[in-house]
Amino acid sequence: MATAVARASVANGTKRKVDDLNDKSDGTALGPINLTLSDPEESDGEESSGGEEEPFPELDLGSDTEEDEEDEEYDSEDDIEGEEEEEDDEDEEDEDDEDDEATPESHPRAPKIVQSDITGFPKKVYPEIDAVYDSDSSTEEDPNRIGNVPLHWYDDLPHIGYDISGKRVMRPAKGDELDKFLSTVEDPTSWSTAVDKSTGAQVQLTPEELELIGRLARAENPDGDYDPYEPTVEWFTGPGKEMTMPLTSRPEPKSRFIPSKWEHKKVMKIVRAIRQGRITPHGPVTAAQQPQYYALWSTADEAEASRRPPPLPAPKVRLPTHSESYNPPKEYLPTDEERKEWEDMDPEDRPENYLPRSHDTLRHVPAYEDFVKERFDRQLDLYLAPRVRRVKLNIDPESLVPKLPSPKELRPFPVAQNVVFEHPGKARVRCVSWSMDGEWVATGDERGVVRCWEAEVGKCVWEGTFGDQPVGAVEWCPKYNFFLIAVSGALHLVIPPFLPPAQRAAAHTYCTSAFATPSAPVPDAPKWTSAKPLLADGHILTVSVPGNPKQLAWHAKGDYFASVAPDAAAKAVWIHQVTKHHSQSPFRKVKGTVQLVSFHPKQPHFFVATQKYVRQYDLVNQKLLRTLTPGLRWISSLSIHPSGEHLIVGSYDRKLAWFDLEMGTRPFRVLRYHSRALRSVAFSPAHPLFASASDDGTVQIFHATVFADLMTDPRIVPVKVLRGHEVREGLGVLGVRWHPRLSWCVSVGADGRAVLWAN
Amino acid sequence: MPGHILTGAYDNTVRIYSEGQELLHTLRSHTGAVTGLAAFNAPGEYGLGEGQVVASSSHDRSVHLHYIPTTGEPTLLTTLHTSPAQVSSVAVNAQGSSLVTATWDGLVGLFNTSLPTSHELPAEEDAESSRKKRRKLAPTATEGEEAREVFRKAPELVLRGHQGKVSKAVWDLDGRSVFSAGWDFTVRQWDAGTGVQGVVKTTPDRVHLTLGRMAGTAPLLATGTSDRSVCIFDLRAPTTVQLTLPHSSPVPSVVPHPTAPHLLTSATLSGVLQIWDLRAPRESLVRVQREGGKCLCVDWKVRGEGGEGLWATGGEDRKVQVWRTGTGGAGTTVGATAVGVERVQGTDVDGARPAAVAATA
Repeated sequence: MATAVARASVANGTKRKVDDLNDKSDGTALGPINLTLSDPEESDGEESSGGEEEPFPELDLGSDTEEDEEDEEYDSEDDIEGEEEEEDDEDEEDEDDEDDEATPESHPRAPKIVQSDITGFPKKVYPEIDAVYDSDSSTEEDPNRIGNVPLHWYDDLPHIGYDISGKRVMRPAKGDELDKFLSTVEDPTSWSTAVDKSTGAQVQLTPEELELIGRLARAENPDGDYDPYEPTVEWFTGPGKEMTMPLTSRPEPKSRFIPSKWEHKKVMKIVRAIRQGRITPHGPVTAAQQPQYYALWSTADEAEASRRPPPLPAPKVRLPTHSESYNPPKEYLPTDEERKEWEDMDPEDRPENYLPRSHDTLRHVPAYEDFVKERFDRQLDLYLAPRVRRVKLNIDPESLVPKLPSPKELRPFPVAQNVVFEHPGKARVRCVSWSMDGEWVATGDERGVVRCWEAEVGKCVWEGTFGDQPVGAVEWCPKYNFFLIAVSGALHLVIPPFLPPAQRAAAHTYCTSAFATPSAPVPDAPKWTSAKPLLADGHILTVSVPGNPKQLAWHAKGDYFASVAPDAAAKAVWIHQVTKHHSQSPFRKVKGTVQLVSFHPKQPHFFVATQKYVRQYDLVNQKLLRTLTPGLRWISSLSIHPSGEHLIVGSYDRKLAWFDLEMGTRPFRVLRYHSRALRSVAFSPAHPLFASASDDGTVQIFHATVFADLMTDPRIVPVKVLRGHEVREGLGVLGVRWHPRLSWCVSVGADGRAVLWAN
Repeated sequence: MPGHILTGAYDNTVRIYSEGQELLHTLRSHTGAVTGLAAFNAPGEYGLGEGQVVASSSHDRSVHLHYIPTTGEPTLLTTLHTSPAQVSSVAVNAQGSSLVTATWDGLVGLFNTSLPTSHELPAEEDAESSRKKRRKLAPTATEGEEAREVFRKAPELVLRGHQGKVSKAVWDLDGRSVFSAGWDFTVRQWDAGTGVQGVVKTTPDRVHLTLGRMAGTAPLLATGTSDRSVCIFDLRAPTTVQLTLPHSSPVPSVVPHPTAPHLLTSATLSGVLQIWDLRAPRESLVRVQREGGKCLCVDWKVRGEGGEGLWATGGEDRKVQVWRTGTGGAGTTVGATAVGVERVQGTDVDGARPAAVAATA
């Protein structure tokens, strides 16, 4: 083959591609490409002389020439010569290559033995590797010259494609079928030749290739050297190779031994969804799915019974625990003492009716002999012990709050300031009183000045100064048009001059008639004198009382009145009579400081309020009727309901106590609506209202309905808070009084104002 | 006596001012605060010549008639006594022939304007102190003209029906009916000839402080109440109150327009003066704040076609404030402007608060 190649190349005289293997077989460095290929033959001879290399195989000249002739015949048919020659060269080169690989002796990279210059010993010198040609098979001549084009495109054509320069690549010569058949007979190698798809040429397969193909066909490992039956290499097994330490020192996590946490979470998610109804195992139940029943035999009772709440479920029996296991842990098994103790106990006293026993297998567990008895006992329990359905107390707290009417329904009551009586000098106004016809309002202030005002307009029509001490009380008589003033040790009676003369005359005779019939003077009693010195226009009488009188209370008939001077201990309370000019002290001894007194509107009863108690006395029989305990620390004001059956008490500790006199000595209700001390309370004579005045500057109006039947309690509804007074030096509203007929009230305060509140 | 302003005050005096705000006369015959004023032309039967007669009601339980000549000094003609209680108002009818008074004990008295020739009532019995006072302060009886003695006149008719103080009584426009409003929550109509009570309108819990009869043929009455509103009553309608005008404080004085049936002026105790149009009652046409304490009285005189008017208001500051008002006639605007303030001088320590103001046309 090599000769043929050499001959062809010589004949051509063209530069042909380098025959890698031929060059390499030199053993010398790759020199310039030689046109004559006699060198490879010579080099092969040199190699054989080395002794280590295999001799170059002998060439079969006959077969070469035949092939050449065939090729040449075919080539002569072709137009383009160069391609044919190249093509021939390629085929021959391919064959050469394969031949070279077959014989190990003529390995192209076999080293040459030369004498070393340095050591003098023989050394191997390997041939230089041309990186381009020797190591990379991808730079071998690619037999495919037509590109990545399927060959069947050119089935009808004499060429198989176009090369890179655009020239047609002719089909390799193909003998006819007869030649092919004959070659199979003669030529043994024809059985191992195949057609190269990319070039169409016959390719002789080497024995190695044939072996490879065979292995692939048998589905064995393609590598010839592979031995599938190699013995196992025991890396970790065997004596001396056991590892006492694990591969890592990380401790095994607990989660490998206990149920998986995340699995539990996933399951619980599904469980919750099922419980909430988001997942239904069978899908939504439609009406068609559910069986429809008509209750043919049901009666009305049963229907009602079915609607009744279901009976209570029986109490659950305790589930068996470890001690009832067929093989419980050792600690559950009884010791001999415990066994004896259990047997000695009475069956009723035993906490459990069994003794824990241990069996080594389930087969050895005996039958339970008490089964029937236990079931019977259970049934008996269920039958004998009725379960009571305990009704829970479901009280709606809203239902406990009493339903009070709204203030809109309880009108009229004072809501707005109508007239303001401004006291000059802004002196604190202490007391106030309405005349019985509702036209005039009398106020007394801290400087001892008493003024009378026309209620409609608010004009001061009369003024009088009675000393320089604060005025304790001003009270109009309920029957005649005159009023009393209590100030610094004396009580003054005034018939104001602005009244019509008829009224004045009537009052005058009423008050001064006792002068005509003088009585024997009693040494310690208050003296009634006509007014000398005349302190004001209309001043008629003066009664001197011990102490500083702070409060006056008229009897309903307008004849008797009472005065209280808290600082005169035993002589604090005096009851005076106008028509007789007579005063008497009803109490020989007084327990505690008397704050207030009041007459009963209908009966001859007298209320005395000390700091803590209110006592009711019968004046006719002269005895104590009852003592009311409001539970307050310091009583400041007292007012009696027009019916005479109820009483309100205001105190300095912000509380107002309502007493129902029929009920008992404790208050019916204690109202805490003010934030500061209460100064004055007053019932309205004509309307079911009462007012409380306090140091927080407000007057609070309450509606109080008193029912005629004894079973219903009074209904107290707070309806209005009147804010119009300023708080001066801790003092707010000091007095409040109602109009005799209308639902108006006047309040007086420490800011020097008296305000008429009207509806 | 056109263009004069009459004021009655708590210092028991009646003062007459010209519109130029100069004090012309002072009448001091009363012994109690003056509560109401009315003026009418002196009837010919008096035989006194041209002049005006001023009737003043007072807390001294009498109504005094004074003759005010165009030139010369005023003279006390007679005193009218309805009852032993204070008189809260006096009103004269359109013809000037009858007077109606309202008293604190629920009586309404009707008087004719003829002068009595003798005392028709006995003198009152007084207590000592008041008798002394009366002698001191009764000047007209002894001073002035000795030729005429002042006689006490009794009412022609006393109308009983009210259960409480009567705030005001007014005449109907034709002089045949009398209307009265009082503290017993009622507004009543009386027949002046027979004294029979007619329509009674009761407003529960609502005290009436004043009354006015609206102009026009419809019998519309306007009352000022103590629960801070003005109530309009139509006596023909079955409903109690036709209309309510809200105010901020009690209304002691209401004056209807002399000719327009839908306009009225109201004065509240806090000093707010307003003109209302009844056809649009949601808000007043004019709203003015009178400075100087409480406002007790207002009177309204409208002159001319242009709707020009004059307010005279009296109050706690002892002054009469005069305001010019316009109620939107041809080419005028609606509004009120203060024109002048007249000092009403008081002699008492209490000060004089004009309780009644009348502006004569």
